[in-house]
Amino acid sequence: MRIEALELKNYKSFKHLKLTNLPEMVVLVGANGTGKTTLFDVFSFLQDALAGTVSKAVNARGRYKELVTRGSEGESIEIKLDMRNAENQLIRYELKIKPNPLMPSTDMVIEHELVTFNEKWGVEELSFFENGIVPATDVLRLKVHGYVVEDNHVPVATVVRRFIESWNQFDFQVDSTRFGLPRLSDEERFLSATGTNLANVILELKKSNPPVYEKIVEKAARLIPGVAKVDVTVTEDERLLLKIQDSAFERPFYAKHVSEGTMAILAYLVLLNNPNQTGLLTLDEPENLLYPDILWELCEDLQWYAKNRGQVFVSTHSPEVLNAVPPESVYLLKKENGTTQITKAMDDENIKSLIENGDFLMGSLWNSGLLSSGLNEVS
Amino acid sequence: MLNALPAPKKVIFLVEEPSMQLFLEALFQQLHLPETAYQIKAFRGKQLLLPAIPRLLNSWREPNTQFFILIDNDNKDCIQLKNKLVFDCLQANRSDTVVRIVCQELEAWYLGDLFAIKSYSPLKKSFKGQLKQIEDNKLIPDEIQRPSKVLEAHLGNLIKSDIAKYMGKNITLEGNSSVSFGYFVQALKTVFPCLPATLETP
Repeated sequence: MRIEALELKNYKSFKHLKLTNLPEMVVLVGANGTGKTTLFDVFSFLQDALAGTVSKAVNARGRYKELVTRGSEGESIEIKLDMRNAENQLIRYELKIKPNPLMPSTDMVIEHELVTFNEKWGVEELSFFENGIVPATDVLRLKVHGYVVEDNHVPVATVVRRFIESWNQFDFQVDSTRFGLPRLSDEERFLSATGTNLANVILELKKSNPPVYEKIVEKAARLIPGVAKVDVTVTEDERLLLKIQDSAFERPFYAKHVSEGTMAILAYLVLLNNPNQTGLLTLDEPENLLYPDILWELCEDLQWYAKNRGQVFVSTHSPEVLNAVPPESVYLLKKENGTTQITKAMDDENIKSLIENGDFLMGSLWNSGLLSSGLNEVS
Repeated sequence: MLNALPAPKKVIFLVEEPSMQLFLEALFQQLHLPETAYQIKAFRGKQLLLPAIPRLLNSWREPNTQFFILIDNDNKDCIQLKNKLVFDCLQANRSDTVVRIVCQELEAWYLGDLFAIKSYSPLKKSFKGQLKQIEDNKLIPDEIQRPSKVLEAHLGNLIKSDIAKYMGKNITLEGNSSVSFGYFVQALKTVFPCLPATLETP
């Protein structure tokens, strides 16, 4: 299932944002402070609201007064998601929240929440939500209704709830000591959000999926000079040690003595090549710690993931990443009057022409100061 | 006294973008060319390659080297483009530089070997339109304005680097229906004397 369209109102710097026809890979680029991380925060917000309450999710973001767009105090915050499933059916989720009039500084209230499911032939089927203010609760109805499973049928609310929960936001904490000595727990089939269980996942892959493990090791050996083998050993007190064998030496290096860049590459290889890893992915500046040439391979793996496993949202500062991703996936962020505007790069006739003529790749266009959304202007 | 043959020059390829580099690297592996025989420099677009040509050709100090420029035509005037480049090379005292134009872009070379394309990925749509015309030998790939779009229409969105590596490895050198690819292969045989006169893929 993919996000096809997203609409926001009054969410931080997004006074009004409307993105439609989103591709399988979305690459956001913009100067610092333009709102790249805010867009990812929308995904976290929905996950937090689902896991807890809307109030908790809002309060964790500085409360309503910080979350609502400056100058729009008093207005509702709206999120609208259009999702398309494998059967080519469209599902829309709409959420509108505002401060609870009885307790405006600490509580939110759901003003409107709706799930609509369009059958292929345009027949609309409403699910069980009604409009109207429900002052007593700020619990998403998606949470209340999203755990129902009937015989042979998964209700739409459950589909949406599962989809939101399946989103993965990665922010690798390349802290070598943590990578070096994680606790061995039960089988760990996919990476955590910070990647600290890298050794566990590699061990699990080695045991249950040797071809994939071999593939990851082969790629690592190809991308990281000196790496010949990657392995995991278990200590007597049940801790995992990630070992990296340099082809020139006999004794392997333990993860805590290996460079951050090497660990980052390994983490990405495991993330993108692990068949247990599915679902939407957000990645903040994957180019960090990686030298430019390697970004091509990383972006190729990202494209492959986007095609086969789940939609990918990436934010980047790197011209080389921009060179390596499909031009159709690039979206430019720009701040105007304190609010963020997002435009698709290839919607700009000049950019489209320069790219299609082979004159420039997207990143070299950016380097040459020709990406015309004013990226080079200080926001 | 025997006259020793001059040592073959190392060939330095200058190409417009990384997917061409990946294609060539895979191709040269297929041909078992020793890696010391060549070097490939990929630029990030034509407008970065073109100004670099006179500079590189003038400043390159490594002895016994020869440049090979591969550039997309992108529906411009290919004769004019080639003449201009040849002129630049003469100006830089590098008259042995090989210039070959890709008509109109790398994907035309892929379309010239439909067998390899079909083995890469199942077609989304049945053979129709321009693709059918190529198969029926009624259209040469070089005449297609945007071969990348034709490919996309039949194979879906492609991962450029992935298909480049695959085609480099699997493309058949003889019998490709793209004329510009034919000229390119001929040029390869001249700069790499170790390659046999006919190159049948094993």
